[in-house]
Amino acid sequence: MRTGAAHGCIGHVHEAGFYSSDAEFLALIVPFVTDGTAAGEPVIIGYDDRKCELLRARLRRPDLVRFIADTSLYATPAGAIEAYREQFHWCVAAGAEQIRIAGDVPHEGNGGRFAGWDRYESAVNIAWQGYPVYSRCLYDATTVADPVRDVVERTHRRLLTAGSGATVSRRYQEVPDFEPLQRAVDPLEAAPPTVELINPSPRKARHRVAEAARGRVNAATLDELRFAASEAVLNAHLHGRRPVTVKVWTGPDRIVLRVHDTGPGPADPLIGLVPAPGGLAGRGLGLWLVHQFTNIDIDLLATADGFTIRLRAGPLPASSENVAGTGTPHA
Amino acid sequence: MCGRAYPRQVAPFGGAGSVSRPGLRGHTWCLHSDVAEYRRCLAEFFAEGVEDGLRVAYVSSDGAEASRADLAGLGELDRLLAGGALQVLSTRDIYGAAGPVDPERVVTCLAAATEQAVAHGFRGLAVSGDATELVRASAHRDAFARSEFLLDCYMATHPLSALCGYGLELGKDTVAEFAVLHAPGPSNEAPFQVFGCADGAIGLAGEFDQIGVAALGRVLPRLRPADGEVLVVDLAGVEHVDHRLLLMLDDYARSSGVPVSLQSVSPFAARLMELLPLPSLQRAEFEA
Repeated sequence: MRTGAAHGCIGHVHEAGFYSSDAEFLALIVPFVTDGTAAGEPVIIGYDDRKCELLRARLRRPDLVRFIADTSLYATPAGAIEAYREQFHWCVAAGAEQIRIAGDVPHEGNGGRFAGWDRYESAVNIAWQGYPVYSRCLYDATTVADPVRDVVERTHRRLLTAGSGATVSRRYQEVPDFEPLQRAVDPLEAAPPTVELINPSPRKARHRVAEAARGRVNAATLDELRFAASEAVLNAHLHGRRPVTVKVWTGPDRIVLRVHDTGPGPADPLIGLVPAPGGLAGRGLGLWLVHQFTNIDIDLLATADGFTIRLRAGPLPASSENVAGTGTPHA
Repeated sequence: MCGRAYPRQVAPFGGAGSVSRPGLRGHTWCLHSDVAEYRRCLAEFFAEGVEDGLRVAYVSSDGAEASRADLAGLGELDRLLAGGALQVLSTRDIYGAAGPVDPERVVTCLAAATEQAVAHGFRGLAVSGDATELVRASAHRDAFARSEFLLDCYMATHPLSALCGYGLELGKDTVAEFAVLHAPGPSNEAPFQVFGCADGAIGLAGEFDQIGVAALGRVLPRLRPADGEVLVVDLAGVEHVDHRLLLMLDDYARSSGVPVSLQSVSPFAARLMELLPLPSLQRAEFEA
């Protein structure tokens, strides 16, 4: 039987809260945890060390909570979705009727980078729908940027504040309707591209990209970039519409790559964040793998003239340039 | 169209368990449109072999005298024959009278010829023959491909090199399947190669994307080890790997019942293996 706000629900119950102090944080998380452990539910916590210690100090039985110490849990959105999914799978196999989770999505206010996690917060409303998950995403109101708060309100059906209870988010967007944050144009793109290819084969594209990137990024990054470029071009040929163009911009230690086709782009809002519906049979896996790489940055951009996969390697521009506000991605 | 883009040399004496660099392998091919083209490849290959101090051996079904026409481009045939630097071997003796070849017998015969060459004071043996008729029947191709692979394993540690003739008339698909079993060169633009390693592993070199993986999937069953043995695949020469190669190898292991183990796995391939469920793939080692 499911408990708390998830009582009587099926699938993932996804709520968010804002706090302005440690006291408010604890007011929002401690009952969530203790109600879960009292009901015999697995409770999985993915916070940083400071928050974990704050929470542990307030629990009579911290041993009943699964604190995930792996700092790579939130390395990538796709990686986090899969890591949690595996946890859910084992919990359900062990007989759990509900699983409670809480963790910190990276954003500029907690030292992270929010780009990409906007899609995550929306996607988990569907990606985990097959599991009895009750999740509570808590954000520090004193540090969260307005664009992040905007995404939180559009991706969680219930919003909480300490002392004020829960309200329904009137701005919630169903997953197919979710509008990701705009992605700023990279400063390197102000100059003409170093490489420009029209309808290249995946092989030619990855060779030219590797040639452009060599000496600018390390070997591990080069491997990821080459793979990603190849997959992006292959997907453009298979699923997009010609012409397929590849443009590359380079800096001393950076590289930006755009693979564009004139098709409408993938219809699946979860593309890249979960394996394609065909499962792990090969099809659709390429983008999912790219989304789990930690040395390159990937953006999927639908524009008026088609669809673009943007890949970036090397140090990214300052964070403020990466969370540019709401609306249809324009970059 | 001689498949000889690399400096002439005797096959390297690689250490057991190691993968030789494909560029130094002495297992090349000549993709030809007619016999004249093959004869030109043959003459060049043998001339370089003689200059290297090797015995050169021509595998023919026509006998020594009838083979003179094929060997005319080499010149000084009588002198070379008399001195033992040139030998004509019987196709029948090595490949059998008819039907699919016996791969182990092919290797045994050519190994014996190599040892004999060395015993007679030569640095090794360079052998050539036109395989077109030997693979014309589709039923014969599995065994011949396996013989090519086993020869590769032998060549990795013995002074034997080979030039194999294949006719374009065999068709694009057959040509592609045998191209990958030979060193890259001007007439061999296969994006990848499959070769035998000194330790018996299957070496892969080149790029394995969605096209290469499909082709490898057709070749792999021909190279399966003896029952009960593990099929070891060495990835040291792989320049581009994607998930399709790993998934194909995993699926092959599962569907064939042959245990498959990967060695010389790059850090990137290892990362892909962490992300993908590959329950039937083993990993023999990790190479940083």
